[in-house]
Amino acid sequence: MLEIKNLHARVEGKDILKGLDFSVGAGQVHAIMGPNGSGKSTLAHVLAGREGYEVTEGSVRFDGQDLLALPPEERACLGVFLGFQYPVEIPGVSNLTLLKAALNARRKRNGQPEIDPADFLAWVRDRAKLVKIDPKMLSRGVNEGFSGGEKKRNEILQMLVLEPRLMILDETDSGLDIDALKIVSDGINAMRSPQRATLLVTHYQRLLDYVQPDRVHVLARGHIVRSGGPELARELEARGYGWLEAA
Amino acid sequence: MATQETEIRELMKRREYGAGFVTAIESETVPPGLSEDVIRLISAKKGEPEWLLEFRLKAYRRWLKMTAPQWAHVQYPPIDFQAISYYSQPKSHKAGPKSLDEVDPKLLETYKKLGIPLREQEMLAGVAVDVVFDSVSVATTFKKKLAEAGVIFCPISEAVQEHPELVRKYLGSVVPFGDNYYAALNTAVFTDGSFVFIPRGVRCPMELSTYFRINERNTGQFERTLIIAEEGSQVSYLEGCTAPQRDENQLHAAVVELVALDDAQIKYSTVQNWYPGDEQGRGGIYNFVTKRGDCRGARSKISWTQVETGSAITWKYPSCILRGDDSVGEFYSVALTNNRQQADTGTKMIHVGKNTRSTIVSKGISAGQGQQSYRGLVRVLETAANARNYTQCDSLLIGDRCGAHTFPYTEVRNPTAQLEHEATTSKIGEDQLYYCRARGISEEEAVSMIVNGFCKEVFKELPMEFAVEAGKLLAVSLEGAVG
Amino acid sequence: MSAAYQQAFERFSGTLDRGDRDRRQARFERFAGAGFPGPHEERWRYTDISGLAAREFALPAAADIDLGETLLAGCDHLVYVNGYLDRTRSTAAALHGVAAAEGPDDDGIAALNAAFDGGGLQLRLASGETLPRPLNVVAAIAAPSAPGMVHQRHRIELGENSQATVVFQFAGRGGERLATQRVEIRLAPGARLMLYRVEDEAAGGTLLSTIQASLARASTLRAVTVDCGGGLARHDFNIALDGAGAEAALAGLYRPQAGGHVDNHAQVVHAAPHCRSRMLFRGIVDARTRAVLNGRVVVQPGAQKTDSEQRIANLLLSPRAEVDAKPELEIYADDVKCAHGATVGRIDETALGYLRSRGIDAGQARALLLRAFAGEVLARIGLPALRAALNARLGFPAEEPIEP
Repeated sequence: MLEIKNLHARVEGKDILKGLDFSVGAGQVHAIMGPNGSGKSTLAHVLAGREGYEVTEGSVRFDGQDLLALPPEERACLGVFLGFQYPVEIPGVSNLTLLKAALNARRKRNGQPEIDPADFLAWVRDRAKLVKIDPKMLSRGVNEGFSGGEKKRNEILQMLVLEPRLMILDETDSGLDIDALKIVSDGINAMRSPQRATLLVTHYQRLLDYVQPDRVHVLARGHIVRSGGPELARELEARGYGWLEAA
Repeated sequence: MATQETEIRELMKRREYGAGFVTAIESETVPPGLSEDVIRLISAKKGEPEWLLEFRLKAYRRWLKMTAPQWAHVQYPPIDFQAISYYSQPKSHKAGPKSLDEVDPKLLETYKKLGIPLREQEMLAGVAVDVVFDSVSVATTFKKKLAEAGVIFCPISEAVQEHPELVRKYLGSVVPFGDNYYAALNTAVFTDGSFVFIPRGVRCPMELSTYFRINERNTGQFERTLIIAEEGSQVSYLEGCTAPQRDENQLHAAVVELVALDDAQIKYSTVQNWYPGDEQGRGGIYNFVTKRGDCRGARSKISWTQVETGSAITWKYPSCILRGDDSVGEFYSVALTNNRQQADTGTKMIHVGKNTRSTIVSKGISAGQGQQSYRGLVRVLETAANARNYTQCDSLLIGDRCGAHTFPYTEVRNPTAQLEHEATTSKIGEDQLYYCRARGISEEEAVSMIVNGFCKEVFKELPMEFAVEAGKLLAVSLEGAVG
Repeated sequence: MSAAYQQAFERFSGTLDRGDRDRRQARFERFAGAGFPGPHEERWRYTDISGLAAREFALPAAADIDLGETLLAGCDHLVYVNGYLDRTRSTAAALHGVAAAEGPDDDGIAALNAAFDGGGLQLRLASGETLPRPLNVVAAIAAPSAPGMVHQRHRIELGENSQATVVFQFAGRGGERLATQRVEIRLAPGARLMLYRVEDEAAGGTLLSTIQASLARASTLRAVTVDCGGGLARHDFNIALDGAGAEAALAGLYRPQAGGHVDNHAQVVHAAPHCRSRMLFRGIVDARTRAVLNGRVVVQPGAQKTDSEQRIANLLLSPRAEVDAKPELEIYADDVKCAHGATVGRIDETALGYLRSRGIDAGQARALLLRAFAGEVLARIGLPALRAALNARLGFPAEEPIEP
């Protein structure tokens, strides 16, 4: 589903990714792990299409299509979803407004009519229950005044509502207490299906206790220094990253 | 990231003005120039009583001694008042149509193009409309139904004939003839406008609305609106304004006076979309307007809501004089300046009575090379025990060549007063746009969403159907802003 | 314009050498032409000094007065009485000097000041130098027998990465008077200046003060101003953030005495990117006083990443008092953070009631609340002697020692 070949990327004149190769098949969950500054978040933003993240070499294909040629909104409409490490606050624009606009953008692209407002509300309410978000919060501005944990749950809610096919979750687990972590993991697991793929970007093994990955890639200084099965994550937890970085 | 800013700039440039067409209609236009003779001519054309002519001449003589105000944060070359024609009416409009069937079809077509289909409106919307084309009122709908409720809604020129005692009593009682330079000019030469009278205890059965249209070249529009709400009455009034796209500047100097007696409420909304001029700042309307409401009675309330997207230069401060005890004044404003537009707008809240309250919410959006200023005065007199004011003025900047300025004046002479003023400045953040785009929303839609969110507190004050219209107007103004 | 100004100038300039006299003559003529600003000028909307033109002021003779608490412990002193350097009480007399005014005058007042300038502090620090002790500049004026006027001009130039703390105290002792004080500050890259300005002008006196500051890259100006006089005081504070990363923090407290009128006009111009400015003003405005506060932040084109904040709070305590506040913003760049707020209100009745319920009498409770309100500003004064003196001068209860 997602094929990354020899990916090099640069941010503000600094080379961050220096040749990544891996593929994520439909139905799979891959974890990208690594120490701070290894390029994990850069990879997430390169896939989502953030401006200023310059790809200098390599390719990224999503269902065979050249993802890098598309602006962020078209990637999103194709089914790429980025759960932000630091979700943005947009005062005045309610969560419902954002969700509805996002859903309708997708439908428009697929030649479907706009969603019926009542159906939309029912759908969002239903999804909100899964992540234990009070529907009242949805009429507030996007992430406005949300706590750190609420913002992360809100990212998962958006994912549940929009039903993407490739989910990239950038440090969605960081800063969560154990209850919130469970809620977030349940949300991710609810989305697992043979038609979908997931890329978990994380620093810690903790999340992987709840969301079992098929493959684990360790990123250090812009390279994948090691790939393996779920056991690699446990090894990292026990031994830290030092031994890999030194290698 | 710089590219995104460039794109936003591009988008803002491409804004289209949809009301910029000219109606090919034969008009009778008085040659340019201003003198006592021109004023006598206007007065004679309207068959005005002697006292009104005297009122005009008094204002004119005062105006001759005044100088144009310089304090506003706007720049424009001096206006040649002798190059303006002070009276223009469609030729087909003779004695005034008795019903819509007598209205020139070209005019009906004009308003249809502007989205104000007079006939359909009458059928559907439950909004009574008065239409002012250049200097004269050409149609007023729903007169009969309003009359049954005792409401008078008609052109002010007609009110002068039909209800002279009311006009004489209230005209100039809120904005004195020599109040300021442009108010004096208006008083001397005003041609038409709307007159509203809501008798004691009546809640006006429908929204009242006036659409102003400048069509002729080299004419100025000097309309005069007077709204009187007697004890315990209520009315909601909306004005909309458009003008053709022309290379030269045209002057619009209106005066609006509101009077609210005990327990009366007036809600006055404006959607101003005069032609703003082009990208280089050629053409566009000079919108120099004096609007003032007098909360004369106890517990009365006057609420101004404005959405200002048009005009090359806007200079207006809809104000409230809170004379009655427990009276309430409100000002909600959204102003957008793009390209070379300049706006210096705000309000004055003068607290005179006890327990008077005022709220000011001003949202300014600056894009392109637009310059925007909020200028507001909150004055609490010695007599205004327990006065309260809350002011919030926020600016949203799009692009690094525009300007957003805030000049809030606070003058307090009563120790029981409580005033609070808050202001913020923000730009549309690249991270916000990226976040929306990562959810599949186009940049253009994201900008429009964020701008509408920014204005939400003001839009919710507009009558329902106009809130939608205002949102659309902003979206149009921002259309193509990001590519 | 009364003839007295001309007479005073002739008498004064007669003692000067030719070149100096000519320079000052030009300034005086500019003053005579421009006169004093009138209330029709926007900047003078709330303070009318046009009456000064008709007054007859003469330059006073030297005098001696008790300086009381203005001689702050732990500081070096530069003391002026009636505009004359008091050598006996000045421990830093070497820093006194007269420098010819530079550049054009902003207005008639600046021209008047330049024409009559009797000299003042001339502080120049070399790169990396640190002034060892705070410098306390006192301008005291004795009650004159006839209407008098005093004009002084001070200059502070700090070299790269140098540091200084300077206190300006103005103390007027009654009588009809006009004083102008002008401070010109230039901070080189990385320089840091802590500035205090205290005004205690007595009823009948008029003080017009101007502080001009230009800040180069990464330099910092911190200033605290306190107005507690009963005369008419107008202060213009003009700060230009000319170099990237410069920072200005201005805090002011005003509590004019009965009959007093104090007008602070504080302006910060962000002329370079990444600069930061803070303005915090608090006013306690009681019987027969009037306080004017005009804060103005200008962000010039290109001054991106500006971070500025203005906060103005006033307590209006008497029906015969007036507050006029005007926090302005002029912004010509988009990537900026500019917030401002202004409030006018009274003492929190709930808090007052709470304190009284704990057995504190109304007067004491009120004083404590006022001190707490003023504390936001006074706490920024890093010189304990100055803070204690002001606390007493403002009529607040003494601060409790931190250790019991």
